Amino acid sequence: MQHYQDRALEALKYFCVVMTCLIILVPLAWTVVLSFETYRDLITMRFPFTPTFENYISLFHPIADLPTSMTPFIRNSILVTAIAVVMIVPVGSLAAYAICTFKFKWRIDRALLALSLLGRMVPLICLTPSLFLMTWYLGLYDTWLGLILLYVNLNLPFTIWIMKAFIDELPKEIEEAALIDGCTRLQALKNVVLPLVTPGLFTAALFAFLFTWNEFLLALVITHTAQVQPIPIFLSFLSQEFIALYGEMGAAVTLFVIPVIVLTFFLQKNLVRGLTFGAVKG
Amino acid sequence: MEIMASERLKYLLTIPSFLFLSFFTLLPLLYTFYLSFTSTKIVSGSIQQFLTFSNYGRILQDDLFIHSLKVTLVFVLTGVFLEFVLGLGLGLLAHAVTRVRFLFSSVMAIPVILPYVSVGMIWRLLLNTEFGLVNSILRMIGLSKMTWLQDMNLAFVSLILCEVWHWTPFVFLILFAGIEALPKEPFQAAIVDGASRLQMFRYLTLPLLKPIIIVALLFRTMAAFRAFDAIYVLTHGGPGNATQVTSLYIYKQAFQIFDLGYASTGGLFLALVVVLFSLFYLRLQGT
Repeated sequence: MQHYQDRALEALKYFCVVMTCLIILVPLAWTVVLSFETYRDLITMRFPFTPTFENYISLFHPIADLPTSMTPFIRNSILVTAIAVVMIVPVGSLAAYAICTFKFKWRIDRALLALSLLGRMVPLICLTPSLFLMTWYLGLYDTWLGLILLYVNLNLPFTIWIMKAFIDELPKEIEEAALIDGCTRLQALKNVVLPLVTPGLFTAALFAFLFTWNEFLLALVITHTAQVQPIPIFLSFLSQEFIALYGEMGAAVTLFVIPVIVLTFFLQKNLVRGLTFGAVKG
Repeated sequence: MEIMASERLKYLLTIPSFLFLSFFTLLPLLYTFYLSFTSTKIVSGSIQQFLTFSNYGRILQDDLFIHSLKVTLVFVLTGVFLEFVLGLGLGLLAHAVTRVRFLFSSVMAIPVILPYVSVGMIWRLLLNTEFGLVNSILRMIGLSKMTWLQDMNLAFVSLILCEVWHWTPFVFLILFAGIEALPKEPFQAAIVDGASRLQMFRYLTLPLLKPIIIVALLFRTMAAFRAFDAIYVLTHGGPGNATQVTSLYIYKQAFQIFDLGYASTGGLFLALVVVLFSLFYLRLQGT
């Protein structure tokens, strides 16, 4: 009797696991399938249907309802994200290194950590009126530079905190030994510390990429034209109520999400490390 | 010489971050404070501004703002509660199924990395009245189709569905990492003492997990108060104002009506609520 109960419980557990995986995966698969359907097939729910690339093609060749092609948005997203990530990782991790290594006058290190905590606490929406006006006055409104600078700033707090966690974990003695052996600070940083924190740098870069690629609100507020706007803004055009370009919606989402999935797949270990970072540190 | 060099180096390394955060986080925050005491409007392309204290009095009597706060609170509390219950349940489940543990948590990592906007769009398609997957499933089990995004009450349910689908995996990943790291000895001792599974859960698992549970709840609560992207895409606050959360109301005030001063006041209110909630969680953590 006990035996059967155990078997049933075991089966129930695996049933729940399978169901949960289906709930996660089916909506995604369904969206990808939908992106290969014509409007007519979709509305009449014909199945099986003949797959077509029509939706993908029409994203790049503007048609009646769609005001603009996706091409400039993709260019903007790639450009802004690439430059922002390349800036965030060195700026943030060098600051983290300095905080961990040196003693500061006037508690500058504390002030920097407090500022980054502030950056994580204040909701972005609260800053949008002032950021809009500031970019307006500074001539950064609707420019790549404005987007890049603000994305670097938005990512700095997380980068500094996570790199601080990684660097704090290194034994101080390694770097001190290098210094005693006659390395300069910079040599010790480059040859001793840098190789040891590479996993941390990858984690920071992954999160900077995810965050910048996904960001929507700020782009909505400080950009205005297709020459500057990133992909999420294009997606929000497609989701307006009176537009019924469902296949195109599926296609655009698929194109937008593919880089995210691919990069995260290669850096999966770093992902869980980054996500649980706050939790494990308490 | 070496000391001088490292003295200069440390400022060289920190100054860029310091400048960024002062200029683009601290300064805008102070500027928002200032704006909240002004009437700042954009009228036909030019900015009109004068000092006034009326924003604070106005916001407390603004029914739409109060309504948006209620919607936000219900959204945050319901969403985070469901995410927590499901995330904890799934965490315990993943811990119990040794063989597929890794595969399961890999699948669960997917929604966490998906952009808010894309999740909003996927759910917009899933909940479509005519061809959406959700209605297809309802029809298969013999129920009638529902107008998810057009109905006042269902639109809010849709929002919760989307949010819970997107973020339960996040709570799961954090709690699962916590469960995996629990010490084994207390549980072995409890088994020897003849404790039931429920007793072990109540008196061992929950108290030991408490610090991690609070961190997960804190992260999720703070993020849920900011929720904007997915709501913007999924319902845009509608139908009517049924799903208009505070962040969306502030956005509309600032960038559709171009009343930037009033929007700043609203933003500060929201920030205050978020800070109060965070302090509440941190107090829980302390005791």
